Amino acid sequence: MNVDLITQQIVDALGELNQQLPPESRMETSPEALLLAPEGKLDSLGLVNLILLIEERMASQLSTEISLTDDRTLAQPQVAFHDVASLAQHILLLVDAGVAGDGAGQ
Amino acid sequence: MNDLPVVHGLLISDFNAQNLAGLLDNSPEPPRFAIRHAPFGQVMQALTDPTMDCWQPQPEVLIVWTRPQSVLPGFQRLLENARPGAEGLSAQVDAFSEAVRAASTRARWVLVMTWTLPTYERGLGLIDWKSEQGLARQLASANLRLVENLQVLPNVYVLDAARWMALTGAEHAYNPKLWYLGKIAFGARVFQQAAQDIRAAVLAADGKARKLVLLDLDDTLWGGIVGDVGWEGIRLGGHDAIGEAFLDFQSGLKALKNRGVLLGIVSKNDEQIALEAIRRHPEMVLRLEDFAAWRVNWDDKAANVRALVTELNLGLQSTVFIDDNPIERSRVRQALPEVLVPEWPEDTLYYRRALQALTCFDAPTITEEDLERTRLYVTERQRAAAREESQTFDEWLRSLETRVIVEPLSAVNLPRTAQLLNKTNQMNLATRRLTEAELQAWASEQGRGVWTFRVQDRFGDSGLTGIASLQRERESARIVDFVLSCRVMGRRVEETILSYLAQAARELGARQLDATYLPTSKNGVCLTFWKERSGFEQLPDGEAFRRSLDLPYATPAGVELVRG
Repeated sequence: MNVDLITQQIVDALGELNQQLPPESRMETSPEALLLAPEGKLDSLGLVNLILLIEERMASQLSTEISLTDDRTLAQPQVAFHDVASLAQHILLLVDAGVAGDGAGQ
Repeated sequence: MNDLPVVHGLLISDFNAQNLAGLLDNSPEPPRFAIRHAPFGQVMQALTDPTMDCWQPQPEVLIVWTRPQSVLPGFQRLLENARPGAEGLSAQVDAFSEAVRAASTRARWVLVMTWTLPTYERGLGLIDWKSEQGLARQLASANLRLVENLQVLPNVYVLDAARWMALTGAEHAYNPKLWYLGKIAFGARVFQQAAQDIRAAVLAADGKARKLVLLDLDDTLWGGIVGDVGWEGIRLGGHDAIGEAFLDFQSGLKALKNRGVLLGIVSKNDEQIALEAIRRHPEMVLRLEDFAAWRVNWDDKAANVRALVTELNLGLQSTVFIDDNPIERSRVRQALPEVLVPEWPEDTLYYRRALQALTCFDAPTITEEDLERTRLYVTERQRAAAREESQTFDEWLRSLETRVIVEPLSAVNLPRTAQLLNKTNQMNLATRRLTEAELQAWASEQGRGVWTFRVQDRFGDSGLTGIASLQRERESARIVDFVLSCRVMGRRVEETILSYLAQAARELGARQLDATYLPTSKNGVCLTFWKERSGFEQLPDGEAFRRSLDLPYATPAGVELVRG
């Protein structure tokens, strides 16, 4: 697993998220995109959707189950979800630490 | 897409449904939606209180999607394995149905989703269907009662949400994280499936259903090249997976035909050899009488599609073209962009599934005329053959022994009348589009009348194929609707309808008949009729017509007008 693979999943998830968003709220779909950064466009509902889309993509595309809803991440979401790069690093740490999540679904 | 009129929708749900609204608004496929949602969690208030802001402006489509444990208090008790309460679930379902009924008067179409439960809810396990308290059993019972309550409302349609869950798969349909973090009841893929069916429902309710499937033959309706192997050598049925798949595909097409969709053939083949296969192969499900028309030759398929659609008096936008050959699909798609040309699986075993995935045939009702549609085209072929044998047009008309039966609008003919009003483009004076309820309400006003016309001749019954309406205006009676199916156009039915309207207008006390033609991109033939054959005076503005009722308006020779 490397950070580029994870970044691609996040960017693809942003593309999928955009299908549900009004034009003015659509996210940039690039590795440089800002998420919860002050200049970013991601709102709380978008964050929930993005978390689930990324968890599903990690499971289906990279066969890796992660959980982005642990207490530590959600206590300060603006840290991990500042931008695509910070989120990719956060996920890589989870994967490397073997912090398998509680599954992407039921 | 940006040229299409916007369909305003109101979404009432007991969960956060912004994802669905976004998918509908953003879709590049028609119709073009502008969806707003009622404050979530206020379902009953939103349904029953027309003064809530969410009802302004009035929506065309109302979408109601709720969870049973939310709108049926007894269901929440069932989830805790408690009894649902003294009044039982039925009374709660009835109360919800009544709220939907009240709301249904404020939208043209109402779409209500069936209730579902997360797939991980097992209820009473082994005895969940055996016990009266079983969750699955109670859910089925509540849904059935809901459907029965709503089926009397002509503009309300129930969509099967359980199907979306099944298509999505349990893992993606429900995710507790979505609920606990965002009060989102379903996964993104469920909303994608729902959005697809909602689009299809609105297109169907708006009379935009596709009506014709044009089919290739070799490797589409059967396996192999009939010109090479003969009808005895094609793969169809038998103890053969591929033969069975073709048989099932034909069976799916037959089911479409039996709900009123026309089938036609466009094939590069020797006509005699191809038709012989259809006539003689013992396992052929589709026979010649199942096809409205065909073009079997070596010409360009796009040209054949266009010619055949014209022959059937349909529009290209009503047509679907199915061919296993990607080059032919590409050719038709490029030449005739209004025709829907679905991508087609390379593997024959997926043909039936690909057919069933098409939502474009969904229609708001299935009338007797729908079920008889193919037969009507077959008799039209016989009629045209008789025309070729007749020396003159008048002789042919007399030989048809046409009867036009007129009946006032009634509860019995209302569904077909609304259907015809909403889908007829060519011989349509005003191109009004009204739901059954709107048409009924319009007709009930003082000084107005709506009549239907059924056309029969010696070849058969063409069914309810004409509509006319009058509105009294001082000394005049105005013809508001003048609608005739292309099936019976040009057989003096038009003049027969006008002769009846002249009688009806006199009975209303009018002294003249007026009509105003409202042009669309498709009703030029109607203007031609009014200018050349109606017997009305064309007023100086060019689109208004008048006839004094002092002049008798005779029913055309050879046509019998009967009051039903």
